[in-house]
Amino acid sequence: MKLKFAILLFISVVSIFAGILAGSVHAGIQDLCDYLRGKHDVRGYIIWKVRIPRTLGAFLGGACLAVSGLLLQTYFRNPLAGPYVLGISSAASLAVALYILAGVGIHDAGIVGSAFFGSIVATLFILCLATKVRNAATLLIAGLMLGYIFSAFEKILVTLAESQKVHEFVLWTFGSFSGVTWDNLKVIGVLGIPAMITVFTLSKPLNALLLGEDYARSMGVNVKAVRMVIVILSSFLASLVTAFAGIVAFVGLATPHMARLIFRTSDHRILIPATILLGAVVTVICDIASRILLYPVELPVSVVTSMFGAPIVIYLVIKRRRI
Amino acid sequence: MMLKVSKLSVGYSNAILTGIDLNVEGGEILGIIGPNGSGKSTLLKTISAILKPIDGVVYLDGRNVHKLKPLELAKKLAVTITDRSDVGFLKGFDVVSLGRYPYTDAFGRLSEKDVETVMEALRLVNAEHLADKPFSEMSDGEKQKIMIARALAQQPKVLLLDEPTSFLDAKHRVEIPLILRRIANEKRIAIVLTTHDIELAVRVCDRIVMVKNGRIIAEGWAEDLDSKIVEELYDISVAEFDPFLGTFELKGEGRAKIHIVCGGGSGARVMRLLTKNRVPFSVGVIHEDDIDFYVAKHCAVEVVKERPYEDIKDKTLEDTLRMIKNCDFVIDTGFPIGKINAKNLELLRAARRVYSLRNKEELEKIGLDAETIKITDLLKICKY
Repeated sequence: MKLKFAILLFISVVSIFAGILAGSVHAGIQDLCDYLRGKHDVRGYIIWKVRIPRTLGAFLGGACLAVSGLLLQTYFRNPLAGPYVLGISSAASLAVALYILAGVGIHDAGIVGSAFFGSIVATLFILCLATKVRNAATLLIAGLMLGYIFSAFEKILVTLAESQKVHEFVLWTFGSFSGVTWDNLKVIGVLGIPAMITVFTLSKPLNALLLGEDYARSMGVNVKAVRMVIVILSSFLASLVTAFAGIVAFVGLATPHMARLIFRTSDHRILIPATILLGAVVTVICDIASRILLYPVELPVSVVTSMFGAPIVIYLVIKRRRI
Repeated sequence: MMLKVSKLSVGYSNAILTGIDLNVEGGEILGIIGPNGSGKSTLLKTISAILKPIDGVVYLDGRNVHKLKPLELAKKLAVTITDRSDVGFLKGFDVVSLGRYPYTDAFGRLSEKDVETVMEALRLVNAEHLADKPFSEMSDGEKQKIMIARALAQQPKVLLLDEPTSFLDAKHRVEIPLILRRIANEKRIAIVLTTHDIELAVRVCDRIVMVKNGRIIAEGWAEDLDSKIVEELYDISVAEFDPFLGTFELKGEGRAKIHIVCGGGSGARVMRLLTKNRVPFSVGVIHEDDIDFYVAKHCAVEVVKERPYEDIKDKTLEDTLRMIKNCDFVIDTGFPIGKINAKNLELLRAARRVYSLRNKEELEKIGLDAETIKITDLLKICKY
């Protein structure tokens, strides 16, 4: 167990360095040191201002999405749940469509603000539903349907918009960490890390929820309160990443499975830190791959995460029918 | 009174069971039986505070369970439901230790005492060997044992079980009721279980409550069931419930062309074989206390009986001889012959044609002229 965590930590560090070094401009640690000492050349600038925030953004963003996915997989007891099943991505995407395609939205908020605003609205919708529904399955269906409604409106906008704008919008929905700045990173860190720590403190009720809501209730879990906290945290984590990086597919769905398989456990006290690290590492690696696979063209990160995530899900569905 | 249910109405939006009153003491097992869909599970979920009642109150040690905090209630009341749980990589021990939820710290860490309690719970359900087995690889019966142990790990005063023996293999259908009895006796826990299996209920429960059409239609001691009410409960007309045997017996129908002379339990298998193959028959003379009599009562179209421990009277014998005349043949099941049923031998000697389950030597010894036959060949001669 400790060895696996050590290896994972080691891979995390290596992947971050790889993320900083990989790219179209050849720049190394030396350039970074020079830049930090005050020698302002282009290569140092690229590393400090572009690659480091981007790589750390992918690292934190991947962790947030993975934890969000784990929470919902456990709560819904459904191996195919992910951070976006409650309609977060569709809502963010609708808000961004309104902003880019229709020019509707607060001007200063930009894409990031619009996306975040959209997902918060969806979260509030889901929270209202969560107080009313009797069980997890109903909430899951309601969330999925909510997503369809948001998507429908988004498609109306896409149908009516100019093609140039549509291209910009579609690229956003593919997701990318390339635009992450130091300021963005601070926001993700300040909000995302405490949220993930809070999830870790929920390990005990999450373990009880493995047996389902009825059993959890009978063992003393305040199911309604825990349900609200799960919905709030998972939606918040997903919203945070979506705002800054667009819709990053599959990380939140596939990495919790990888964590379970690697650590051979369903105990959230181990699973949550493992999922955080795996989500982070996998996303950083995918981000690197998106830069170099079709070099010099940069692929959207969702392309890589999907190509990598989908086969894993297929393998899981065929090999083991349990979460 | 450990558990007291008072004027309870349960259901989701509409009440499906109303006016339910129950009392259960520590160490007692109460069975709630009824056909599928009668609301038994909903009742159990309401008593365990998973569902809110539509009306009425459930008291545990004098306190309203729906007003207790979840953690407080979990220390007093535990439940197993029929929900199919998929718990991933959790092992038997892990699942049982989840039952320590109300006692462990914020991170669910187990103290030495917690581990002892978990192992004791595993011992009570004969499942110590399952501690390291992954839950997802267990059979239904093993899973049920683990879920019961998990409930016991909560150290409850009341244990509620929904359909504890449904879907189980033969070994666990026998073992789980024994385990429940042991829990009631050793731990003085009050147990309430639901089942649609009256034969199980009679074996394991002290008292039985029958629910149908939204209410309790009867209740009482397991040893004091009225067979008519049981048959009404299940809407059964092709079989009859025998409170003495605690089982259902298929009902024989038609005009008897075969007569069976039996006793001492030698005839039960023969009668059940013919009844399930729809071959009508009559039986006699049989003593009223004989085990064969309880089977014959339901399976045979006609039974000639004699009072317990009395010699067969001439009048009874004559009635039977008249009956045999209309039959194609008589089956001798190889019953033990003693003083009180000696006249049954005369009956056999007087019959036109006799098939006997005895062997040749025995037939010679008692001086009976009959064809020997094996029980497995009986159907061939009955279905001509």
